[in-house]
Amino acid sequence: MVHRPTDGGDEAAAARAPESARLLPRGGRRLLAAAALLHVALAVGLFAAGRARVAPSLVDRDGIMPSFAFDSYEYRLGAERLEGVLRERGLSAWAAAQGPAHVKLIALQFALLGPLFGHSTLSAEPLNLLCYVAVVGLALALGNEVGGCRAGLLAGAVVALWPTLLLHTTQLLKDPLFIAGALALVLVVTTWLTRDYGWRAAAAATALLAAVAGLLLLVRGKFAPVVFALVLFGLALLVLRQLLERRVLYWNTLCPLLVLAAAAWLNVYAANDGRAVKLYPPDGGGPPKAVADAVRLRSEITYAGGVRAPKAESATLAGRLREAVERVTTEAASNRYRYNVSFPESGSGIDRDVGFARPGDVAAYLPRAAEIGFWAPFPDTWGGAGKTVGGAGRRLAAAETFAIYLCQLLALAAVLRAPRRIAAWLLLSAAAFGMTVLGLVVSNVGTLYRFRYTFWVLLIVLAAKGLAGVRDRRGAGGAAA
Amino acid sequence: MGRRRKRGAAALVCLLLAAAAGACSPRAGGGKTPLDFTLVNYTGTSLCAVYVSPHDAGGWEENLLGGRALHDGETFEVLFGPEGRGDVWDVRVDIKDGHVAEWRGVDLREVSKITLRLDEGGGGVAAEAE
Repeated sequence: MVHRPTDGGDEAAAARAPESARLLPRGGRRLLAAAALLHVALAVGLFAAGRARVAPSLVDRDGIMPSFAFDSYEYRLGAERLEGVLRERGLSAWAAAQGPAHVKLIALQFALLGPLFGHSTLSAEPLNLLCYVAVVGLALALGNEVGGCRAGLLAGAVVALWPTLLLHTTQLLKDPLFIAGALALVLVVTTWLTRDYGWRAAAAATALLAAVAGLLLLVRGKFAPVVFALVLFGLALLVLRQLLERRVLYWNTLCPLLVLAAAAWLNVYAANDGRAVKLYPPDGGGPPKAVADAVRLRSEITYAGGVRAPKAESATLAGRLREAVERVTTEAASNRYRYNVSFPESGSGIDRDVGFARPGDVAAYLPRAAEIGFWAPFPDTWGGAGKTVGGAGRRLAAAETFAIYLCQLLALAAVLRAPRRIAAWLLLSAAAFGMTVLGLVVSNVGTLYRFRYTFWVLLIVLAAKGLAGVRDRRGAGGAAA
Repeated sequence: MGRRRKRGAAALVCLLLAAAAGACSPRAGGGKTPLDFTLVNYTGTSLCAVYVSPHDAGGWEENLLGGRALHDGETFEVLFGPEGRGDVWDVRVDIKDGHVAEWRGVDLREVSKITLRLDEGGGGVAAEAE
């Protein structure tokens, strides 16, 4: 596998990226070790502060910070149940039991470390540490890939010290696992655009991509269209790269095509699986209608007016595309509706009255969604006190948001300047797409803030590239003078 | 050797393109009946059973999901054979936490899709029929 500065790389750029096949820049391992130590120290500190009841409203006795990681309690309940399954019925029953993947992993850690630290965040530290180190390592690798050694180190250091991300990775949440998986996915796609694959590299990249996509879908099944979109966009940029460089990179192209073929096959397979034919005559099973055997929820049915949806499956490509757009609209509307009704008391709701009934509504809201995704919380809310995170929490969020504004400016410099602009465009597009989609469906700024870390890491990587480029130019200017 | 490998890769690329195009191509519409409908679960939780039975039947009949679960965001097609009788049907879904929601007297000939959502305030399930 050969690493080369693409799309117009100059000599300075080549000198900045001499570590051809290395994923991590020189000094990266030391940074990772320091970051790991910092994380363990913080986890131990939170645990100790909780047990000592230093600030019980901020950190409970198990190290959980309820102001922003309230779902840790729900996951802990699930993990306790699965830990019981593991203890009483063994490993195979634990593996077969229903439950989210990360909750199963927390349960495993509870079984191992629970006798020492109880069902606390410190018992979940091995997985959290692994995810945190992976996130920092992937930021290092992405920075190295798109901007060279210095950009990699800078990106890794900033991500390692990003205050709220650091705190989030100490809690019982699924986010750290998801962020690590999503960044790994972006890294693999980035290497299509920065490296020349041989057959071994193509096989390794495809296997890694399949593993990472599987992990992401396990953690957040709804991420499937985003994985598909990223692979498709990466393929488009790879074609652009080949056109610009006037050469064909067969092995690089093979990787996305394999993934797309697998996705298409799975799509057909899944479509055939989600259906059942009504039996004639009925099998006689099922509960009788007259008996009140279960707790009945209030159930209403409304009939949409206007034209009825066609019964027959559309046989044309245009028909299937129209159905896909309608499906996406329904999904966006449903997710947004759920956020609207799930947090009625929240103080950080945004555009709660907005809903989507048709594709046109989604299209009309896209600019506002991008505004929210890129810039919320807005400066006019920075001064007040948050309902759950208080004044200090709001000020911390304000400082981080301001830093992200600066990163966005530097990211622009990164995509406009050589080398490896195509890879930089991939990162910027992925961040812009992700943040806009979040702005579209999430009507709660607190939740949006948490979901955005993956895309913020991409912006930090780009900012590091932009900053490294500015410093290189200044250095070159000084040397010339 | 290098050239041979490149040729092999090129052939593989062509093969994959053809396979992807084939898999993505529209499937033929497979003889749907007027009673067929799609159930979309946007309740935020998983369904462990779906029952559809004629309005005049005394029982709910078979669980169409079998042993599977219909997770949040997933869709499920309910298909009827040519023996499908009557227009008015009852639909019931069982939620994994033990709650049940049911809708009586649904005219399935007028419905192609039923989308289930959380009710306003989260205390019930609203079905939107199209």
